[in-house]
Amino acid sequence: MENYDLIALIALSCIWLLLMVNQVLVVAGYIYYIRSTRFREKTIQEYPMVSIMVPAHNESKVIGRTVESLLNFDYPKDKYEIIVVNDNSSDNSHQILADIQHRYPDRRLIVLNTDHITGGKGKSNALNLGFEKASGELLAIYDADNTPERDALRYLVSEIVHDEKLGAVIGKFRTRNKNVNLLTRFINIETLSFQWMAQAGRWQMMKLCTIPGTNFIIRRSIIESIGGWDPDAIAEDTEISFRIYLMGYAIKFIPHAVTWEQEPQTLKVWFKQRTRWVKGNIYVLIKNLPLLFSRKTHRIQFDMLYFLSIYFLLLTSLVISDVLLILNAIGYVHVTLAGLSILLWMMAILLFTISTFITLTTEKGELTLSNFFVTLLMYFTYCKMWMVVAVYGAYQYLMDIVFKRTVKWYKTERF
Amino acid sequence: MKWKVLLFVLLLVIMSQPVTAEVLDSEVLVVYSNDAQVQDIQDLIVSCGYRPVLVAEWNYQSGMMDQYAKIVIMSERPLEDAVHLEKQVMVLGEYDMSSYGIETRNTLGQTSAVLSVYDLQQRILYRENRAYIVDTQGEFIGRQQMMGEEYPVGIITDDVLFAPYYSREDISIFAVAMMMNRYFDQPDSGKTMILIDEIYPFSDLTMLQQSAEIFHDHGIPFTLSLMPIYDNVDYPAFSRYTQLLRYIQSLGGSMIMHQPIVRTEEMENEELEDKMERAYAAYDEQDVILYDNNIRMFDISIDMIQNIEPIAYRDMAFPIDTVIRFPIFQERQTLNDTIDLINHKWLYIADYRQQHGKQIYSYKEGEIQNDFQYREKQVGSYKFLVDTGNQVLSIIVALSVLVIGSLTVIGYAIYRGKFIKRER
Repeated sequence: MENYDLIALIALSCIWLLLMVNQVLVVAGYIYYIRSTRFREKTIQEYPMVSIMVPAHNESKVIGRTVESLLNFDYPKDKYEIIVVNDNSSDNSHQILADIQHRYPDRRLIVLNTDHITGGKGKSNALNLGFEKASGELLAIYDADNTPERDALRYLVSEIVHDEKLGAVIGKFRTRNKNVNLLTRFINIETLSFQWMAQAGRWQMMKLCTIPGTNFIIRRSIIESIGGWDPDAIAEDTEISFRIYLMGYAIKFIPHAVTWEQEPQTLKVWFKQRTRWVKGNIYVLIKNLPLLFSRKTHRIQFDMLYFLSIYFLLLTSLVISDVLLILNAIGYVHVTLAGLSILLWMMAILLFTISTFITLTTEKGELTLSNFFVTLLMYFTYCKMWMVVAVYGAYQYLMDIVFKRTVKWYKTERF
Repeated sequence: MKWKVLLFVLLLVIMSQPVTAEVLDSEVLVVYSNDAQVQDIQDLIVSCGYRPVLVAEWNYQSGMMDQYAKIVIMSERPLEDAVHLEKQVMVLGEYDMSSYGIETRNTLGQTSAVLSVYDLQQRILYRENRAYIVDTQGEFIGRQQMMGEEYPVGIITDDVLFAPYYSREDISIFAVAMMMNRYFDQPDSGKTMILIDEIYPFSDLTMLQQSAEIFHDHGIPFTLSLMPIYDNVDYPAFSRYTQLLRYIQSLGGSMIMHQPIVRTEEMENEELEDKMERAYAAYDEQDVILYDNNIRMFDISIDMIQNIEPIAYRDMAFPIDTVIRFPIFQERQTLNDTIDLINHKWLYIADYRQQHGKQIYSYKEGEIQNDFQYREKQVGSYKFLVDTGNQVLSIIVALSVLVIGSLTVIGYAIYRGKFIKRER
């Protein structure tokens, strides 16, 4: 009995601790938002050459629109190139890309078509292939389903060229298909709150961000020094972020550089995507675990602790507390932990709701009553789904390790 | 050889004697045709201290009546056999009694009548044709004046006690009661009791207290029928309940235990006798005196009393023991009206305690524990930590809500300036 009580107490304490940490991040992130409203773009004296890389695998539904958007940047046309790595695609992506190349003969649009021998090894490998062809001193990465705004690239470049301490600059991604169903509405709110809380808040406090995998720019020299992307990392964005930290650089979040991407519209697709993220992030965290104890990397220890606490501590605690609750209810175990205040629990739900909702004030059209109720609903539904994803992702990671399974890059299904 | 013959003859003699069935003295055979009417007669027989044995006419067989000393016939079928019996029978109902030399006629249409039974009088209206006894020799029981003549309500002869009509709604039922007194050789005298029925710990105790006080103030004895309580007798509610009962005792109220009402599943783990033993013990521990419940009185309603008058200027009484049964009074006005009626009718109410060894009781108010633990509080582990945590977190969360709420307000202002005003 005592053991279960102690476990329950520890789990609850962890949950509350992390909730409080997140509240601090929310406040910090919002302060950054308020500061960003006074954003003034820095003038670029000399436009550097930028190589935009787009890894794509069977993206015929979206690749055309994406490339058209990239071609439409308000950045000097001779100062950027677009490298599309059409990685082992079996659809008509190559035809679509060829057509675009034909229509824009004067633009630097490079298409690399790989097969299962030269490619088909995931996004990291595709980026490495594209990197070999890149000539720019800055590398910008966009996912194949993204449609960035015209000024996105210019904003990213203007920040990175004016601050040598920046190893990368990330922009904001929005959900293009947010109104399709309740799931996409959840994802829309999730992405906004994540960016304004986790990214902006960490930047405001620690000058730290994590590369989101798309709509970001990075110095070529960094990629060269680290030898490219880790082909085993399915969460290559988190992996490269850590490497940038280790090199002493910072990663800045610029909310004005916006891209729009398509999010999963079905639970099955969402589940697979999120599981991949979890697996990938666990891989990166474990790989870089020794850094947690290194004095040289005290700046990233917070980030590591933050991710460790989210992926391991928080989700484990949530799972444990829920399992104990269920087992106690069915009489299998007997938890006699003195009861938490119901009022406190309700206040926590309110806190979660308003701290998520506050991020919606940053975006036009998001500050609605229906979004408030969707946010409230998320506490009881979407957050619980994430717990399942976390458990399954951890399980999959363990299975990969135990059975030495090849890490497979799952491509998100497009609609 | 001779002794064998003698033995054989002896056996023959013995076997030739008529076999008579044992005659049951304390039981009364009732042969009936109508379920509704037999209930009233059943109650009357019980109040006379006898046990009715009910036989529906379709189950009646010749020879049944031989086994009973007392027989009440409420059906045409056994009448033929009854005539040949060598004992007096009671016949109730509109049957052809010519075999007994009793002549009856029917009223025609609505007929008003004035009934006089025992010391009681009542004016009634026969709405349908009713049979009545005419021109017959015998002892008249009760009289009814109608159509300018006087006729008996019931009649007693050597062979039969007969009443063609009776109703529990009027005093004709007392004529039947008097006939039963004759039949069972009992005197025409009865006591009337007031009974407040089915008292629970969660009854309206305030009204119960008021009722007891008002009965006491008017000098009217009364009895409470308490429901058996088997469990949770250590609750303060039970203590408050029994405290009131003790107070009512001191006002002269007597108490009896109501018959148990239990569901079958409640007796799965415990016998009813054991449950009742616990119930008695529970009241006994609280000094609530319970008298024996041997009420075999005939129920009458207060509405019936309202419609009858005593013949002479004296207390109203009935020929049999009667009980006026009330539920707990819901309103003070109803209680007052009942008291007024009892006083107006000069209804003499007997004290139940007089028959059962009256006990004097003086009331003393006891202390009731109000902080009773209905459920054992489970001591939570790490209580101090959790309680402290609750308090600390409540403050932190409240502050967070305040801060983030304030930021939301600022954010909304920015939102309006940025997205709404610009559009205009």
